[in-house]
Parts: sequence; C-alpha cells; structure tokens
Amino acid sequence: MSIPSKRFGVPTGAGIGLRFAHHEEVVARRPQVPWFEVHTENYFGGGTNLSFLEAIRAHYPIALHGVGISLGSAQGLDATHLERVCALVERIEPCFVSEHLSWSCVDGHYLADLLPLPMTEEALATVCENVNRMQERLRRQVLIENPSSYLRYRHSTIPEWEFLSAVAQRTDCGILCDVNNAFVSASNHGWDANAYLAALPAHAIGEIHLAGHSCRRLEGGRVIRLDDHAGPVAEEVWNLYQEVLARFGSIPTLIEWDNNIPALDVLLAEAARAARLLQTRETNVEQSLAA
Amino acid sequence: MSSNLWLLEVQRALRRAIVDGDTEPLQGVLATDAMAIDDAVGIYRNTIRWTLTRALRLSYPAVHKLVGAEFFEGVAEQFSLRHWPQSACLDDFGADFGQFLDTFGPVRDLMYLPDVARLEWAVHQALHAPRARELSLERLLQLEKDQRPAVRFSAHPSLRLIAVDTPADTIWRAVLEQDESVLACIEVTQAPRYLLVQRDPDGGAEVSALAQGEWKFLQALSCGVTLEQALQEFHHTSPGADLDHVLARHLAARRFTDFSLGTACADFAVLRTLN
Repeated sequence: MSIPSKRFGVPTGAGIGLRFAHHEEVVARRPQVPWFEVHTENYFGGGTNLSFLEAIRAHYPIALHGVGISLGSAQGLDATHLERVCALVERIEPCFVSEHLSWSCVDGHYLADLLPLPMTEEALATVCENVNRMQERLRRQVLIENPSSYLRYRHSTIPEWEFLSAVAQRTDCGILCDVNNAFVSASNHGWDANAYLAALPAHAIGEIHLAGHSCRRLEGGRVIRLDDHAGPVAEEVWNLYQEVLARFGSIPTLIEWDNNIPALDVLLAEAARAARLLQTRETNVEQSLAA
Repeated sequence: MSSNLWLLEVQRALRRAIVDGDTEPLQGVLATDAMAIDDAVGIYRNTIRWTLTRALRLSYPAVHKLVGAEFFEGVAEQFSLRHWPQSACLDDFGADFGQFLDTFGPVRDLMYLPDVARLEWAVHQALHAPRARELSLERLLQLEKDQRPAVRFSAHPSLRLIAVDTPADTIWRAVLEQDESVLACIEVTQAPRYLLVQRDPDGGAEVSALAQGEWKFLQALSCGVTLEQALQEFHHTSPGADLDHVLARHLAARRFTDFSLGTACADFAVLRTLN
C-alpha cells in the first residue's frame, strides 16, 4: 500500500489538546501555539463544536486523535465508526490522524476506556489487519499510541515495545510516542521506561504526547500510577521527554489535559516548556554539527 | 480459562469482569504480581463508570440539576448497566434514559422527570445532528399549481417532534435558566404538550410548544407524507386554522431541506401510524 507522507506540514513545535472549554477563547484570542489536537469522536455532529473546530482550523493545523475505533478488537472495526472518522478527516484535513494500541469494543458493546491487549501473535495479526483497514479507508498514515495500562496477561509472549514496533513495521503506520504512558506503564509493571522508548523505531515516531498522571496507594501499600490527564506533566516525565528528544529528534509534541481542565494559559505554559526543550535540542544539534 | 486463549475469549472475559463484576474467568489469565485482579479491573470499571456518567450529565443537564449530582450518579450507574453503549461516539449514548426513568422506582413521584429527559434527548440530538442544505424556496415556487399537492418534504436532520404529558418544556427552561420564580409557579398537571425541537442558526436549541393539529401536520410532513395528505390531516384536526400562514412560517424556519414529487397512495398507512 502506498501511504502519503506522515508530516502533512506540521511545524515542529509544541501544541495543546483543545477541549470544549477553550473553544471560544481560542477563537477570540488566537494564542501563539503551533497546532491543536482534538478528540475525533467529539466532532462527529454538525453543531457548534464542529463550527468552532472549523473556525480554529482556518488558522492552525489540527490533529485528530481517536479514542473509539478499537484497533485491537478481535471482531474487527465498526464500519459505521470508521466512516464517521473518514468524513471528519475529509472535512478537517488534519495534520495527523492517531489512535491507540488498545481495544474497547466486543459483541457490539463499547467499553468506554482504552483496554490493554494480550501481547500475542494473534493480537498482533488482529491489530495489523485493523490498522491496515483504517489506513486504506482514510488513504493516509495513522499514528498508533503506546497505551498506559494497569493489567498484564500471563499468556503474553511479546514485549509491548516489540509489539508496537512490529505493528509499525508491518503496516507502515507511524507511532505516537506518549512519554507519560510509557512512564506510567513502566512504573506499574516494573519495566524500564528508557529501555521501552529506546526500543521503538526512531523513523516511525511522528508525534509525542505529554500529560499528567497521579499516584494511588493500594491496600497493602503498593503505589500505582494512574494516567488521569488531570494535572501538569510530572518532573520524571519531563526528564524522560528530554531523553526521548535526544534519541528521536525534534518531534511535534502535544500537551494533553482532559480532567480538571485549567485555564488556557496554564496549558500554553506547559506547551512553552516543551517548546523550550525542543529548541534546546535543536540548538544542541546545530552546535554539534558546527563543532 | 484454558492457557490457549483466543483474543475474543479474553475480550469477552474482561468485558464480563468490568460490566458484571465476574472476575472468575480472568483467574489465571491476568498477571497478579503487580496488582490483584479486582484492583486492576476496578481501575478500568471506575474510569468507564465515570466517563458514562459524565456523558449522561452533558446530555441531561436539567435532569442532573433536578435530582442533584449524587443521586444522578446512582441513576446513571443503574442505567448504564442496563443500556450499555453500542457506539464509540458517546453522543449516541443515553437515548433510552427517559424510558428508563419511567420505571425507575426512586423517582416515581417526580412524574415530570421522564418527560424532561425525553425533551433533553431531543435537544441533544438536535444540537448534534448533521448539517443540511437549505430548501430552495425558489424551486418550490416554480412548481405548477397542480404539482404542489404531490410535494413530499425532507425534514431537517435536527428537527424533532415529541409529545409529552407534563409541562416538561417549562420546567426544562426554568431549571437551566435557574428561574426560581417560574419554578415556584409551575403546576405539574398531566396534559399533553406537543413540542418542536430544532437547532437554530446560532447553534442553540429552539424548543416550541405547538397546537396539536400543527404538530401533527409537521409530523406528517417530516415523515414524507405528501402535502395534500398532510393538509387533509391538518384540516381534520384544526378546522378553520390559517394553513398558508402555518406552512409559510415553518418553511421560513427551515424545517425542511428538500422536496420531491410523489403520489398520495401510500400515505394512508403512514398517517395511521402517526395517529
């Protein structure tokens, strides 16, 4: 399959996840931010949300980040959902289209979360088949995000990083590298987050996500990390992000904040911090080239 | 479960654990070195429950205000267990909430609540309906006079016509506008209300109460009945009403997006279902 270039003219910079609460302010203020990303499923209708998105699209690149296509479903993709995604992609002409390495649908029921897959050859074949179908229908590359998770299957045979790399290699999809997810999952499952990220194929990384998480102490004292997108990016994740930039280069980066959504300026400040790190990385590369 | 697990079996088992609380099929399937199975499944269950409750709260803001946040959360959980979403677009979730409230014992005394929910769902659908082109009045006016009775309109996708038995529209408006003076005066008596809901050009919701005949006339037209049949129905239920004025008003209000010409022969069955 021939898949168009993955970058679609996105500036290398730090954007923010756009949520309904900030629609009006973004239209009125037109803040200095290189791009926005929205949740695909929030714009299937034809009302004011779509009108705001189109007004914002007139001035900024927009990425569409899906949460419902269920690429890991053993029963395949929901054709109706795929058509709705396709219609929005055609309307918005997004810089990126992304989804998750997870599943949400079985027997016609939608479980409204990103559920983990067993890392098996069968699941790998299923995901690849579904990714291929999505890319063929949209006629473009899709970025697949590494998940955060709280459970593992005993019959998994493939490390998650190898699984995701294999999906990219077999389908020519890109990878949306969520640094917070890698940190959260590594912490919860006792993995090495650095090793996880180092194992991903650099050429496939098309976008980076940064988000906040929280910690919860379970009975028995064990602490788990919850990927709740309800606060600022953790310092450990910022540190990991710098290592990711050093490894993968200046990849377009997005700040996600979905719960307890703060003032727009708070999000812009987080994006500005990411932008400074991107700039530092660029400067370091230029200096090393000049030396 | 056996150690040779098919993906579909695993997904069904996890669904059962999350929705029904039955984690037995997951014993031996999930690794437990980091977390007990119930803890791990509970994290996903809580996220899903929270997400569905939020989706219902966004679709039913007046019901949420009427019963309070804590009670709403409980109702939402009960509803979600029986009406699990079938679409990954959560704007589609919650269609049967009004029907569910009809039979939900703890709110039996709030006889208006299911009607307010039905109205809110109509508003929600109107606000999220697809866009549609505008009806060409010019094309309509170009029809020969003898063609006009055969006109069949296509309703605007955001048009909803619902009938309720309580003053749900008055309650809905007063609750969302926090108009305590109106709320204090509302008499909740059982009397039919014929409501029209449509997205207005600014993206808000128009909610109007219509006379029964006018409502039935619009309902007939929006179901694709010919203008002639719909007019006969209207004359039958509203003798002496100014029909031209009613039709002109609704054409101006963009109730329809298109028209075609058809015969009236199939319309009697449609009209019977409307009555």
